Amino acid sequence: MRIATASRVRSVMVGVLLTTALLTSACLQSTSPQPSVLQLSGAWKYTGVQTAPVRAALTGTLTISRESGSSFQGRLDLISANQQTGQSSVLGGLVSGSASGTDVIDFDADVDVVRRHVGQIVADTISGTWIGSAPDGTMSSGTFRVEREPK
Amino acid sequence: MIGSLVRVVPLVVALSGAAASASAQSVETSAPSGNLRPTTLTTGNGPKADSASDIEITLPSVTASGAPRSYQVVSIPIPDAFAGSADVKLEMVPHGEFVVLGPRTRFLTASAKHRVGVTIGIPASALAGRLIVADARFSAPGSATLVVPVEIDVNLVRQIALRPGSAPINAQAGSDVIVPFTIVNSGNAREKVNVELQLPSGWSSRELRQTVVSIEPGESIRKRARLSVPPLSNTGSSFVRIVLRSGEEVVGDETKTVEVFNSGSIGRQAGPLLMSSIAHANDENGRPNTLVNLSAVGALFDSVRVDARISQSSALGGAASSVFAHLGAFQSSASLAFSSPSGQLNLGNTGTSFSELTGLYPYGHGALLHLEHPDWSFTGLGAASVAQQGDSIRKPMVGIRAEHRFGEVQLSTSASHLADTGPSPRRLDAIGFGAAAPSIFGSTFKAEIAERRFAGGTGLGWSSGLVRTGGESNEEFRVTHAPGGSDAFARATNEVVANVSEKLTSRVAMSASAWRTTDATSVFSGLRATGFSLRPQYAIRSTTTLAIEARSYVFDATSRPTATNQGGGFGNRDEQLGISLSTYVRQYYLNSSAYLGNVTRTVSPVGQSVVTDRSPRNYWTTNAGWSGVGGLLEVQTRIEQTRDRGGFVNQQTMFGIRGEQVVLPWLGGLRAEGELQRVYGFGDERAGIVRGGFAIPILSGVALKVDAERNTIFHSLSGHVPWILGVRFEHALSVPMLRTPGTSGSVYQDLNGNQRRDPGEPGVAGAIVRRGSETAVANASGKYRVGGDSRQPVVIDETSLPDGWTASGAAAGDLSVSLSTSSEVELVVAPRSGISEVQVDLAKTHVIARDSAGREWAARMTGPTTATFEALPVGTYTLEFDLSELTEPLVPRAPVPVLIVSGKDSKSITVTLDPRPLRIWKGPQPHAKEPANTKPPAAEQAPSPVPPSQT
Repeated sequence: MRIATASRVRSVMVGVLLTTALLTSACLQSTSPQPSVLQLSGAWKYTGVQTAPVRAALTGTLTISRESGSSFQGRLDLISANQQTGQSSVLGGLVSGSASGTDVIDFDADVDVVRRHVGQIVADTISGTWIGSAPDGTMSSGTFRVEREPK
Repeated sequence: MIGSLVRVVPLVVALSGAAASASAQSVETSAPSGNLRPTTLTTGNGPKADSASDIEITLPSVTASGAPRSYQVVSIPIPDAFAGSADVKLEMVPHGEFVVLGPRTRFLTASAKHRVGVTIGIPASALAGRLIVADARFSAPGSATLVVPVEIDVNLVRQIALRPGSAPINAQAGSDVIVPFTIVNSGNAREKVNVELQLPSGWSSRELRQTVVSIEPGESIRKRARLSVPPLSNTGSSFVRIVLRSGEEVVGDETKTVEVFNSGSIGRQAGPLLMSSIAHANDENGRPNTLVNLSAVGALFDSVRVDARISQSSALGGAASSVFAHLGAFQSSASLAFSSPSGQLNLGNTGTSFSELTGLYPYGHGALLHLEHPDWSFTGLGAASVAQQGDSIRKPMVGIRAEHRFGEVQLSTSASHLADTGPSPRRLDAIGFGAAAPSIFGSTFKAEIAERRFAGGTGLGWSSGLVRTGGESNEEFRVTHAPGGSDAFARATNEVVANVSEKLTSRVAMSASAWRTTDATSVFSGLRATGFSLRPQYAIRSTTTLAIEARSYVFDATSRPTATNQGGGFGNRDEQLGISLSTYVRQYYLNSSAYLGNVTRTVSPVGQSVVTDRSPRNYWTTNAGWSGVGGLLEVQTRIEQTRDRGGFVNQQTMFGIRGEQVVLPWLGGLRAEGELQRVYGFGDERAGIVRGGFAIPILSGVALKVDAERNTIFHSLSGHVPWILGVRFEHALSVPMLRTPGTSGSVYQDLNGNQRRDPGEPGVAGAIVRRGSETAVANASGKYRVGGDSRQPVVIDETSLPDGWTASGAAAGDLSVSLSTSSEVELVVAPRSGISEVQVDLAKTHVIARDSAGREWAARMTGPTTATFEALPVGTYTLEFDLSELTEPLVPRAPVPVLIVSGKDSKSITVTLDPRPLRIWKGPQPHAKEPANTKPPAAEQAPSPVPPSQT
């Protein structure tokens, strides 16, 4: 009796997982792309610092590959060098953001955790601050600066 | 003999069968063919009446069966030739150790039945099988003697005993050891047994693996198994099992303990491991990168360890840094650390934490000292901060922390002066005091206050918390106020944290946490975060867990304006609900989690309106694999989705497979690792990693590692994604310790009992000494070396000493053993002078022997006047007497003889006890005028046999 119950529970759980996975992968659909108003596409040189919880120097490349209206998507690849231990780590992930107001650029970079970047664009340079928030409440923060790389 | 005397005469004896049944206690007997067969005997000269009685005729035997150590009643048929005859004589003649109960000779009357019962005793030593146990001799005047042999089929009794030697067996790792044992056949038949040894891993037998031993009944065979103890055996007890089998049946089974001592396991060879390596790789733009590492990690001596590291490199590009990490080469600042159970000293790159209020994670170049004692601890740091890139400025970092335990309360104090440089410089001067004490429900209450001075001002900080840590339930609640926040070496300015983890039933557990922090830094003028998570989980099976999790985390930040940024605010609210499953079967495992949620983002630029958007964020991640001694193989998938403000769906799908430390049998057991990962983003976004590596041992201690990676993160200036090849040569060398660890000394026979090893006092070979779990065996001269915690005493295992010897003391590592023997003190109570004999019960006499080192041995009253020391080591003892519990006052007569124990023979001395001098109180005189309550009159001293100086 208990074996049958456990087997039924397992079957239900597998079904729930599969359903969840299907829903997760299929529930979102993109809208049609709009003409870009930002002209951010291309490679940008990323430099920054992490000020908390430990000091680290950040260098890398921000690549904007797709734009629609005021939104953009791309990829951020970083080398994070711990300034205390000297050790480096490689981070990389998708970027998705948009412009707010007249000159504010706001994007999420999903690297080790999702790092929210908010900065001001002046010519070909965006500078601002970022905050990363892990599910367990651990927060990291710092500053960043991206400059468009010459084509 | 009888047969040679028999002259065969023509005689026809018709023996009728008489197969009478035996009584209930008797045994059914049988003759061949059921009846006794007719037997014809013939003599050459014809019968002679007067000599007929000299003729013996043996008839067929009667047979019974029985077990050794039993009595059997055998029913013997009376030969027909004597049927009806008067004066038939029956004489029973037993053979060997068989006995016949009752009279051996009896006369059968004419009225006797056709059978006669005889009781035969079968001895314990009777062998199995058919044995002629007695003869029944029937005779009558003028007739030949007819002999009926009585045959017993003795039952088979199998009894094999295995007796291992009783002496302890000691062995040195890397040498042979002999395990003696004796096989005893206590049964009544020859046995063939197989001797099988079951040995510890790595051990082997030099002479005996499985030997057939033939052993006769009652025989004992001594065997010796010579075993080879592997050189890498650990110090401690090992077990050898001896199994005797007869066919499939186990007839004997014993396990013998062998105490193994491996001097190498605590020897100097287990010193620090020196590792040197050079790694090289070109980065994504073809620039060469080199990284040289040197390290020394391991024990210097006893429990003192060293950890020293230094590296030198060219500027590492991103790709080269990644490859070096895969090769196990990391850039690090120079550091040197010595550690032991009682302290630690770090030089070079170092850091620590003083407290939540007086400094978290200060890190710099300098020295750190930490001292540890059961009741107190001390930490001191003196360093300069790490210089930032393009800046050579360093700031001082100094601080101390001291803790002391008073009973169950622990008090602490700390002071610090900390500063560093960089884009967000920090500074703190603080002094704080704290305490931790037991509180309700088994929890610990902690509190601390500190005066904090930081770049922007000063303030009194405080922190308190309640913590309970148990096996299955843990709770923590903590509140902290640290003015200055994270720019003054704290986590935040204000922080409230609660964590709970409870096991509710055997299958259900719940964990929850909540937090809230506020902070202000040189980057953010305001930073506030709150969040919670709730995770109930259910164990479907012992290896399968299903959990549901709800979590939310929110932050709001206000950036400070800079030269290129006006600042402004932004915030995030992320809410998720998910389910996760974790299971494993043997070496296979599966972890899968799926979360659905949404994220709300706000932006409030300076002087502009707040922009808010909300979009879904979902993900599903799974990894499954196999993990074993042959390595690890894992498959990974991750699907993430979110939609941006413009309506685009950001979907990133990652598939990967990776292997770590995978054994390649077709390459001689080479270990390899690899990774294959493909990431599909939106649109044309593709990212991938292909990586493989080998570790190839070349010579002893020399190895080559190769790693090749093609990672789309790393592309050249032209956009090309190259293969990055890295190689690393490493050399490992284990060097001896500075000093052989452990404690050394001798186990010796203290022949004169002076607790010192004098010339001529021999060592005790094979004695086992122990310290904690460490064991050592004394060599032929009695010397030993044992590891373990030097704070624990070294003691002798007295079971390893010869009979009669006991441990008697220790001094400077030398352990003395003495031959202990019983000694008696005979007590004689002297008669009181002028008075009759003193009658006193000496049962409550306490006799103590004190040796030259001041140690005491107590005797036991084993007779009315005899005190016995059961086991007194060799030595000279002074005797002391406690006679206070006796009914009569007695004192030992001086001089009390000393007790000298010199050998194995017991010793007896006599001590005379004299009655104490009597003090006779005359009592108050009736006519005295002194008041009644004055002090008693002085007693008169009675004549004493004891000199005044002894009273």
